[in-house]
Amino acid sequence: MLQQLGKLARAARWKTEIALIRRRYRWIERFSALGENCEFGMVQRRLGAEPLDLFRFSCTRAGSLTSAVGEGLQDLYDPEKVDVRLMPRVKGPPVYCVHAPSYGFLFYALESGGRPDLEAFMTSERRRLAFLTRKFMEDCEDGAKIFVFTARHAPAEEAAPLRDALRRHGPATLLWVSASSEKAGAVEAAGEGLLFGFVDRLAPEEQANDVALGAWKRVCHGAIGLWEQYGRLGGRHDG
Amino acid sequence: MTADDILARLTPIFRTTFDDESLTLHPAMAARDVEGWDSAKMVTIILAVEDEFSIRMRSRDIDALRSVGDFVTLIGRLASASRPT
Repeated sequence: MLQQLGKLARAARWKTEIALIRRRYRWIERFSALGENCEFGMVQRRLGAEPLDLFRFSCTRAGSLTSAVGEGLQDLYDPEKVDVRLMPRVKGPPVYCVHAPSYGFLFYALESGGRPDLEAFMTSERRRLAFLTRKFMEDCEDGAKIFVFTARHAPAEEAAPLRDALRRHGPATLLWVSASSEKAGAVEAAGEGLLFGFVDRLAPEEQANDVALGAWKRVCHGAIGLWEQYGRLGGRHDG
Repeated sequence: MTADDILARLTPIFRTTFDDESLTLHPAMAARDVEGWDSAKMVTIILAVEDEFSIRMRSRDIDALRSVGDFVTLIGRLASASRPT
């Protein structure tokens, strides 16, 4: 009897929490991009959302992301460990990027606007990065967002270690998305805090905004459905 | 600190960020109403607001910011919470 009451109370709390989360975020803002490239950031832009997420416009690799997130991204707070540099692009003129060599991360910087004072530009970019890092870590602790890794190169075996790294900080959920024409639009729960999603194709490397929007939308809606049904996918199975 | 006080201190932050000395803030004003109010500018505003009001905004509060009025409400709440009793 007491057990039953406890279960009902937890389910009621979970429903209240979902209602709050739904009020706070538009559905597509409930996701936070992790890389490998800008594709998911572009999906959010196409759907009218511009969330403030650290990895939204970045280049990352699953292995280094896993170890960096596991240690709380400490180097990104340290101005000595990040630099700003001009990077060539596959197409178009070079762009300024913030580079974190210890993790192998590249973040697209703001346009320098032809600013002559490069030192001031670098200082502001480092501060912006530290702020977004702080925000990212809070999102990990909070557990209200679903983190999306677009796996162009990384094998699926790298998903669970990344999920584990995120979960060192809180009840995070990882959505690992890869290309599969057979499973396009599908989402599969794969244990605590881990979802696999599939789109029919990933955007071409040189054109991250050429996204398979329909499949991405189905994947995201499916992920939210599973997340709400199972309560953060392992955080609490009371739904 | 009243809402008007907060709005008065927010105004120079927005004017500097958007490089527009004629910008007049009102609570319903949102990103769609100000040209160039994108995610990059939003970070600039948040960092300046944290400095100006000596507060620290949490991620979940930042994600819920939709308008100038939301800024005013959040700043008021955080400033009163951090005030010594």
